[in-house]
Amino acid sequence: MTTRPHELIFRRILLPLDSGAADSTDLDAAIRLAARLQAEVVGIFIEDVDLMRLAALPFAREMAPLSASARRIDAADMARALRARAGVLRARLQERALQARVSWSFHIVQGELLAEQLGEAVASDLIILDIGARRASMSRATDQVTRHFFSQGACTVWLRRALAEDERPIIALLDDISSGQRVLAVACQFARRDGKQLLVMIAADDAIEFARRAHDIGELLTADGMEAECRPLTRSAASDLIQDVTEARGKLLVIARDSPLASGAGYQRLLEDLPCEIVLAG
Amino acid sequence: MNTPKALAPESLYTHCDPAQFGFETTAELGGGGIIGQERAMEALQFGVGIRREGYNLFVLGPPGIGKYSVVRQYLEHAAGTAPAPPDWCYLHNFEQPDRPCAVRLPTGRGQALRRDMERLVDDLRNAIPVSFETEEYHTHVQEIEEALKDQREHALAELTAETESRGIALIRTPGGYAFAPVRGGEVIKPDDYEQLPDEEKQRIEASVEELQGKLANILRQTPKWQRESRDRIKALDREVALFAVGHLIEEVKKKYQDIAAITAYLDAVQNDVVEHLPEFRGQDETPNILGIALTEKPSFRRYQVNLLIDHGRSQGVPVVYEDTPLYQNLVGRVEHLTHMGALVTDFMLIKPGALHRANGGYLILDAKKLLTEPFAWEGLKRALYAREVRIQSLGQIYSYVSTVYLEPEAIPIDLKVVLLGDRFLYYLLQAYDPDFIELFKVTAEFEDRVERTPDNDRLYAGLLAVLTQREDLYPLDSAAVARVIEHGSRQAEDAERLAVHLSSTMDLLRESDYWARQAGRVVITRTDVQHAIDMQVRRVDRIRGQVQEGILRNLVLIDTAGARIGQVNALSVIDLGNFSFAQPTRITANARMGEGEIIDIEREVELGGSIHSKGVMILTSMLAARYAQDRPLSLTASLAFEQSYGLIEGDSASVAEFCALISALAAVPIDQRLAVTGSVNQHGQVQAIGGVNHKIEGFFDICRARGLDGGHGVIIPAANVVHLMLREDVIEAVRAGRFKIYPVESVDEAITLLTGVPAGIRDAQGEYPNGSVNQRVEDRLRDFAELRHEFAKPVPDGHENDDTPA
Repeated sequence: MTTRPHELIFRRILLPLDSGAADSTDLDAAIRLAARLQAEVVGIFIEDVDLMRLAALPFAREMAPLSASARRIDAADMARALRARAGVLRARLQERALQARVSWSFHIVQGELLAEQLGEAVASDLIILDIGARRASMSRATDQVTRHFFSQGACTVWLRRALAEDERPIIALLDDISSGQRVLAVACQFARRDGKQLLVMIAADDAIEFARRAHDIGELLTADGMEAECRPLTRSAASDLIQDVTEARGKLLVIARDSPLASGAGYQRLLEDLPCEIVLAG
Repeated sequence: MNTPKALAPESLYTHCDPAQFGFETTAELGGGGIIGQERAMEALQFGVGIRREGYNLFVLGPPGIGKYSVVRQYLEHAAGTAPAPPDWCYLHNFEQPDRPCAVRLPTGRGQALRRDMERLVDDLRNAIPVSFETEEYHTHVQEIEEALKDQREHALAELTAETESRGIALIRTPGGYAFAPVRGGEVIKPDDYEQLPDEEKQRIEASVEELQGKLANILRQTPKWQRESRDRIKALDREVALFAVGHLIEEVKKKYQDIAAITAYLDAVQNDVVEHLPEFRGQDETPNILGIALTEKPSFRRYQVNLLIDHGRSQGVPVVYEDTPLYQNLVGRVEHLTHMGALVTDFMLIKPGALHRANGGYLILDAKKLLTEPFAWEGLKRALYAREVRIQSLGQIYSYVSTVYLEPEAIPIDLKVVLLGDRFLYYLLQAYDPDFIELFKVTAEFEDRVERTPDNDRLYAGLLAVLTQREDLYPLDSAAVARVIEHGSRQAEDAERLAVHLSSTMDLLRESDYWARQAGRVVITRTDVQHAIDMQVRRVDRIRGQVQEGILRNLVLIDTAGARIGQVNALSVIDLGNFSFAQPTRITANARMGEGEIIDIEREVELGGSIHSKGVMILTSMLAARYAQDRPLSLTASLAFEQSYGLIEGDSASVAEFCALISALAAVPIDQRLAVTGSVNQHGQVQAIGGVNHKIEGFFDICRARGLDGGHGVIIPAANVVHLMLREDVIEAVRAGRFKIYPVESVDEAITLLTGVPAGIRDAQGEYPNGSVNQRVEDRLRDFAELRHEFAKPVPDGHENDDTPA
């Protein structure tokens, strides 16, 4: 037990914003978490070079979702559109941050989406990525970034998706002793943030071990003013985890980045089929 | 012809004998009946009994005779035995909100419905949110939303797969989507693209175009999928809501299953609730500026019941008197509230009018008030013709105000309207409004005077008992009752009749009670009544005092001694509204030869009314008929009311005018100690006049002030003797022989009394007796005629006619 729940502090929350960001839910979630942790929100708007290249192609057309009509675009149009988009997002971040009295900054960078995000993530404690946007908008770059962070990122990653607010619990998956403390600490922060129930799924070889670990966890949480329900995790495949989380109606699953369940092809299953948000505790 | 005899004191006042009553005070009496209004009561009974269209009532009679009290009492008695009419309410019209529905409910069930609907709404507000908070519901919604996402993602995934297979990527741009060829996971650089073979470029561009078409199809489908998804959620909501509210509404429906309108209404409520679930779930967001709501918050008012008419606690049918019959007070109104500076309204702001409240019963209205309120009479007629009340504001009808209006469904009416008014209004309406005849077929006419009989005296005593008890006044002893009855007779100006003016009688009782209390008595006595009458007069007779003072100071010349030719004392009544009195007026006459013309100076200067002029013409005709049948009436005479500066109306001075003229013609002086009143017809008969008591008392007061010598008196028409109810001091003077009252039937009797010379009756040869007044008049007129004849002869040639007859 090296990390107690109250000891975990996210100082810098990175919020990558690109031209595909559709709404303010990520922004609102970041602000809410930052307000609770007294952290800084760093908004970074990346002007993806792929978009500039696209606009420079002679046949470049943009399809408007509301009219389903195609219009000719060029590099200048794209630059203007990106600037406008960045302006809107900056204003929105400023407004929300001022309301919640949260420190904030906003940067515009031009380059490769993945490289820029990884670069910024180095100095951050938590990065927020929208996997809902990945699915809904078919943002190729976002998908690439998400995949990368899932497998290689260093900081904690919060893979968000827009879900209705309800009473569903925060689930912490403790399948590895070494990373378990950090997973639990992160889960506690999210449970506190949203005032939600905490459900801890513990991988154990037998009932005795489960009981022991559950007891330890109970003591740890009690000392920190938290309560949690513990359940044994007897199966070890990603599909089983998805089923358990679905049955538990989890709102958010906190899982260690190096969890065997998130390695290999497992991360793809989790991304595709898990009906909740995911936090990869780094 | 005998000289008329002066009346005995007994003829001057008809006393009421207190002994006839057989009680000490009115406290011993029970409730009195209605006096002398048999005809009106029969009409009332008929009007109330007949249930046909147009048989509404007009109750007419002078103000203050108690029409309202009698009618109200009768109607309340009639109303008490009938079952109470149904309740009426207005309910929200879910199909046409600006046309609220009027619903008739069995008596007393309006309140229950109102409570049931309030409870139902409370139950719905609790039950609906709970139903939508279940996990099952959320799971269903999630499933539908996921299905929508899947549908879109599946389509996009297929497109993406096809795109990637062609080496092209679908990229999200700030304004939508775009396709671009990729190499090594990155969009191909423009320079590299230019290096591609033309065939490759053509292939890419063709692919992009084709893919754009496919993407466009998917994007076009998206709204449809979203709509389908919304419809599915809506259907789910409906299903959940129906399950939650169905049994609640069904319970209420069961309670009102005998009222089809309510069960239909509850069906509409159910549909509306399902259509407006966000309001019940608290999801309805009200737009606002600086915290001020731009629209009203979700309101459940539309499920309330506007119980317009509630007869739950009524006994019998309603009897309503509308004291302020404004248009909107009759037909009802729709009130408005201000919201953000605009006027808004809804069915709950519909207020009933008197027609609603009286529906099924009786509505009493004051005709004068009704007719003087703009549009009220027309509104009432419209309702009675249509047999329904339709609430429309004047602003709505005439577009005075630009705001939201409601058009509430009309409510059928079945009621009797009873109008109270005076005769003038009644005949005015009869003459000028044909609708009045159609709608008010029953006339109940109240008498203002009843015959003075012992039975009526006793009934009147009973009425006084009721009035004193109602007003908590002291009872009257029998002598006081007798005095009130005598006063009633005086008010009626008829010793054989009794005025039934309830309002003034009530005033007299109140004031008598006051004076009795001042005197420390617990019973009202004759003295108190007399004092009250005297003080009533005293409070208002300032002008009479001034008039009499003017005469006594000889500012107004009235002789009450000696004799004068061509001058007579006439009597005129001055009506001040609440007080009348009479004063003597000097009439003078001059006569000379002329062409048969009598000049009425009052008429010439337009100070004489038409009836007065008629009287003068009658006496002109009578003069010619009596004295100049066989020769021209060769007279020019003038008559004047001396020192009269106002309008002279009426013919009650025509006897006096005739006597003044005869005196002037016959050169016989008239005794100025006498005054005369009466009208005359063409045959010389003296006819009754009004105000005889005032006239006698008016002359008496002047004569008494100057000193009565036994020769003073008043000549009155014999027909007026039955009207005499004179003051006690006049009667005392008569009894003492110091004042006389002469009844006359003909002008000859009046002339004889006034001149002291017999008027004279034609003998068998048609001649008047020598020395008689008539003979002198005839001779004078003959002289005038002959003189005129001489003047009319032609002048011989060479001679000029001069002014002197030969």
